[in-house]
Amino acid sequence: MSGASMTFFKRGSSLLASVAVALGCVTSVVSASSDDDDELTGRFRVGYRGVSVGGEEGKYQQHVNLDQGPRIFEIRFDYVPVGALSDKVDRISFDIDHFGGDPFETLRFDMAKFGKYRFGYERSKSTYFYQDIILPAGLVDPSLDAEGDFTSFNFDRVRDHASLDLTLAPRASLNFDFSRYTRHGDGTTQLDIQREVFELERPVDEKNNEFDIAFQYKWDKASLVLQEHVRDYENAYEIFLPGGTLGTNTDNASELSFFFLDQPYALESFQHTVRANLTPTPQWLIRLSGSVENLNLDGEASERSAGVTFAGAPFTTDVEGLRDIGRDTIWVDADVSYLLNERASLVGGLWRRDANQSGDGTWDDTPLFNLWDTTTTGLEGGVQYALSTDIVVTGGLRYESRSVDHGQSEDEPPSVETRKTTHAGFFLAGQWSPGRVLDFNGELETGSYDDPFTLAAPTSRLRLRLRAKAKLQNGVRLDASYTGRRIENDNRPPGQLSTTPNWESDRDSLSARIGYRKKELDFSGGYSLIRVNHAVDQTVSAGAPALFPILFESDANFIDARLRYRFDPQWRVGADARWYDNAGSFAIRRNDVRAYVELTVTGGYLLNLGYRYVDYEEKTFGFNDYDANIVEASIGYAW
Amino acid sequence: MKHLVPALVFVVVLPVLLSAQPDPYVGSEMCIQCHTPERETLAGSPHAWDDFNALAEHGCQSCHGPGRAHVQDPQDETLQPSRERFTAAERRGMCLECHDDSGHDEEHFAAGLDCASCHAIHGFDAGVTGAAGDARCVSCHESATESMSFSTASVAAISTEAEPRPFRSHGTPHAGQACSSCHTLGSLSEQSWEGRAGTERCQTCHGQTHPRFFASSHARAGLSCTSCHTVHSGDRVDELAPDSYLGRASQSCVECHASAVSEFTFNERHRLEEGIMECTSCHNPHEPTQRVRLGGFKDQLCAQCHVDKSAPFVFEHGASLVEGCTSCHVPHGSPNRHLLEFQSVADQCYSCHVSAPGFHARFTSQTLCTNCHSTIHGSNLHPAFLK
Repeated sequence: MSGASMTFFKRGSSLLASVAVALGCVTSVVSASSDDDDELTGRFRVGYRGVSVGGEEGKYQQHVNLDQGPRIFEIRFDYVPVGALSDKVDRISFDIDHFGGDPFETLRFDMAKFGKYRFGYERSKSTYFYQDIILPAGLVDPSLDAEGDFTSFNFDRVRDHASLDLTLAPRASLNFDFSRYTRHGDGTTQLDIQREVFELERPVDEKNNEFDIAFQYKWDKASLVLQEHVRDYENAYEIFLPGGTLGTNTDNASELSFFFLDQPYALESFQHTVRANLTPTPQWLIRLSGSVENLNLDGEASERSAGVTFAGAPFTTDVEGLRDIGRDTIWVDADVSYLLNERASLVGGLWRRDANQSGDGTWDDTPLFNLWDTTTTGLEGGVQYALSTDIVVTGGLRYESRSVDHGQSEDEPPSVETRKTTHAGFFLAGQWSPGRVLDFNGELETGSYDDPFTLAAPTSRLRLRLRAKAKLQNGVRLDASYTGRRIENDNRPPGQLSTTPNWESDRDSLSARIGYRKKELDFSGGYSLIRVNHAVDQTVSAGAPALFPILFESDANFIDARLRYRFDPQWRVGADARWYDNAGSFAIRRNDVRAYVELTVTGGYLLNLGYRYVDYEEKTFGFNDYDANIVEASIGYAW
Repeated sequence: MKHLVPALVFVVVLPVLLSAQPDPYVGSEMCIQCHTPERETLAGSPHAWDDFNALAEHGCQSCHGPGRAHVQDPQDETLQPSRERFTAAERRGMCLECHDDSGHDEEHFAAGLDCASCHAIHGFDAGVTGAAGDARCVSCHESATESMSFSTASVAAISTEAEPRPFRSHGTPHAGQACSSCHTLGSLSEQSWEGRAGTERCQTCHGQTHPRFFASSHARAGLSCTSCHTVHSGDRVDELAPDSYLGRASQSCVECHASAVSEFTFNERHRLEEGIMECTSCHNPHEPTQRVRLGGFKDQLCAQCHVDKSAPFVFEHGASLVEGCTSCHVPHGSPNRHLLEFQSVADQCYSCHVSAPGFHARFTSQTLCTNCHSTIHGSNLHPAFLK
């Protein structure tokens, strides 16, 4: 059976199974709905999609990835029993989206008898594809390692999540939570082997299981939560060469006959948590929380290869290794909220986190060592005061200190280096709500860092956010906001040379939106500007000039509009349009326009016809440009 | 003097003549002879108590008006002592002769309602609490599921709505809760649901569910529970049409965080549009998200899904382990590959590692550092992340 046939067969099987499950659930619920007063609302839709892609299909697959065929399949319903069944359940909800073999599938099921139980299940599958052409042919120069990106992947991430909340007694409840995800698929990566870069296969094969159980008991003025969390994770991690290759730079003698690098590992962690919530008087709200996590990772490694080095010398490798790393983490948090009076309240928090990681391993009989211990202690306090019923202001201070002991080395135990970093800052916020139609918010937050640990850490941070909102009686909503963030590292005094760069990163966001909603018409539209600027001062290290200027600028303009209009009970139309234009260091443009018309005919049957156009352009080189026309036709039924 | 006698007659005789007219009031016992339902319900009401009768001289007619004419001709509707003959203000004034309504808001009164619009005057068991009270509220507020915003105008509009929509509270977590569990007459206005006061009201029951909300950035900005939650209808009403490209939880975030949501329109992004993720997949709106600035091991949120990038490594990349994934990546979306801060990987790396070994000097901005440093998140075999 060919790959395409197998894919179709898999998708067909998935579709059939989904239909069976969905219809089974719908049928059972509807048949149980014996009371005419029960509320059952929902819709079912199946259909066909036609797709025409022009240009770089790989980038289309990365961005949109919708395929042609009978792929439209969705079910949504909400059931609220009123009759006899209402003693057992208050609500059942069920959603299936994109279950016709699309790369993004979601299934959600939720049923509850509030005050007794709540059960939820959610499954999602998402296909991730990445393949990029980032370098124009004229700039490819393997001698400078300027070949482009060899990384690619095409894998499925499947997530399952189930939770059950049981009310054992009016004061006691028990919660179960299970989640898992798997990642399976193909991928490629690159490795430097004997000073030559080779593109190699790197399949994706992971599975992760997590289980939580929590017990909560409430008293009149307190509650206690005990929670256990278990994680179990496995990664097959293998890299191999499917056949012999000369490498990316054919100008030298490099050759690789075979290559296998396996590093499978397993990780498990156990977390124990206790939380206490106290309200000794109505003015007080206190939360105390403590958590301990023990994580352990075991892995092994082996490498076998043979080939010729860039200098023409044959080589072989056959080495093995092991690793065992543990990480113990302790969290302690205390939070207090106190209502001074009807106008003022105090909020405070204290936290401490100890994370101690140590491990060792071997590689080709060479011992490897790892040690990372961090201790973070923080304190925060603030006050919120209502100047009037319309104006509320908040302000506070924050202080945090962190100590890092670290060392990692080969051959011999590492020498441990200790670094201490402190952070102090304040925040101010205000809200003004004149009348009931206007609302203004402002927030200012700033902080400074003393002796940041890594070169990537800032020495200061400033964030300002302003927002205005109007909700008019005629159904019109207006909203405008600005967010500015500046982080910078000016650790190196002016004129002084060192090995650390000074850098500055600015990010400004501006948006304005309008919305209008009446029964038959729903419209919203908006404009956003996101301006990013990263600049690095590299004049370091004995005054040597920068290797090349490092400056990234991006002006991203977004315009979007959304319209839904119901002409009458039978006819409904909708349209979405989003235009994205990015100027600056990486100039690109993408337009995405969708429209549909839906007809509801006698008895609740639906006919839906939709069209979508996507147009993507990389303005500088155009290697990844594509456009796509997508047409969908579907029939359905609405309860 | 000739007018003195007629004047005396007028002053003395007329009152006598007038006093001879029948009293327009009759005793309450006369009323309940016919109005038997009211008699039965009134029996348990404070309005049947002696205290009331001592204050209200005319019993039933203290509120309804004189009833003698009605007694004399019960068939004549124009003679019935109805409260509807009075304005709402006058009706309210009758109650205020005995009652103090200082704890009540003006919103309902401004909408043309009076005390009896909500309070059952005759029956004590049908006040504003319990199921009967709810029914009384819902009789006007049946479209409460549509909006939490009851302005004066909207209250009036709802009151006169010809075909009110069914109230769906029985399908929500608040099923079985009385209106008055949350709404008190002293603070019905919308303002009381905003800010600290509104949150306090919800926290009466939910305080131990979200005890750190007051330390969150949302509380700091003055938001309350109802800024995001639709208390009456739950989270799944009238959103069945597949119209929005965002998940339900994320839709409520758009209103305030439009710019952040726009970031998911970038060509490189997390899968919010496809419904695979919600804003709440990473952000907890009830918690102080920005509290830990320094942290250490700040990659743990991302590690929920990207375990392979954050598992303990023998050789850790300090920026990733200590400062967190956002040292290099923009989590919402970016025009750059792999959600990096820079489109050029070399720019990304050299923005920190300016003191790389000398042979790196031959590389350009087009060089992909990860072609050699392929395990940049951490390695178990090589301290420079070469494998």
